[in-house]
Amino acid sequence: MVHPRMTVQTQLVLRALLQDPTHERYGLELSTASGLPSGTIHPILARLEKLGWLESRWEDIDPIREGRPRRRYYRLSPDGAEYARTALKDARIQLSSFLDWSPKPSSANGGLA
Amino acid sequence: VKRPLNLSDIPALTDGDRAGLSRALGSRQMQRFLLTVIALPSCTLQAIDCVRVLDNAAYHQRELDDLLVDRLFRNLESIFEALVGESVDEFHIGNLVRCAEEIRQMAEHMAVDHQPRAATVTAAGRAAPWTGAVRLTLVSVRVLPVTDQARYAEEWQADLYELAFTGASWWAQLVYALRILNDAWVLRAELKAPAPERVRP
Repeated sequence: MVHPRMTVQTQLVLRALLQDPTHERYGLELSTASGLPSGTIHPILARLEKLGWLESRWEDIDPIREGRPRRRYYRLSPDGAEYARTALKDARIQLSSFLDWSPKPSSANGGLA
Repeated sequence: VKRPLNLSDIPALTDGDRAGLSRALGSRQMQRFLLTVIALPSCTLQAIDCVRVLDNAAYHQRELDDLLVDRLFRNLESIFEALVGESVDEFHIGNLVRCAEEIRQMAEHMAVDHQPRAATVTAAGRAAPWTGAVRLTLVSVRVLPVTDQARYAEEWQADLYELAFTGASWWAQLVYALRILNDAWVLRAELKAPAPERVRP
């Protein structure tokens, strides 16, 4: 399985998307939900979309009548939701094993660091 | 038939906007950016023109008028258009990203200092974003591969309309646009990266 780089930012985006995997959200909404700044979110979305984890579509409105451009909506693909859950779980395991690791006291100096 | 949105759809700057923008353009951070790009042959003329305009305004201790702000923006757009060329090496890209980050920090600081104001309203009754922020996103899309430019131009402008609708100050909109600009290079790298083999169930 091809995984994206599971940076903290990627994990935050996936968590925001997994809150309701069927719910479509646009970039600014995802930025707020994940707590990431505006510029950071789009490279992550592009990466996830390229992997097939995300689906996106244009909002179905008439921009002239509405007086604003169309939003681009994102949501996890059915497979993407499954892979996202697994990837987040793996990332948690890696983090917890890192946190469990602690330097052992050295016997040579009587356990004093 | 859907007509694409363009800058003529968007109301002009107010005096308050222009005064703030004038200060930002004359800032140390903007000067550092111009001094960084002045060394690049494709940007030299535009950067020199910007420096001349800013020096002249500083010498006469006056704010930039509408024409000069527009002239600076046109020059900045030309500079970014030139930067899209592959000849810009990683050293210069690193310097440019640092400059954009400095400008963003300044704008963020100013966004805190300024109270949100009532947004400009379009003929359709919608709040419209600040023209300068829209222009910056248009500059940012030029960094991207041609096939992706239209998509992100519309997507980012839709976000700016949303910000304006929720009453975000133009400084907050500028911060949004500068963050987009700052990370446009990262997005470009993602978009240009070869597609990985798709995950199959």
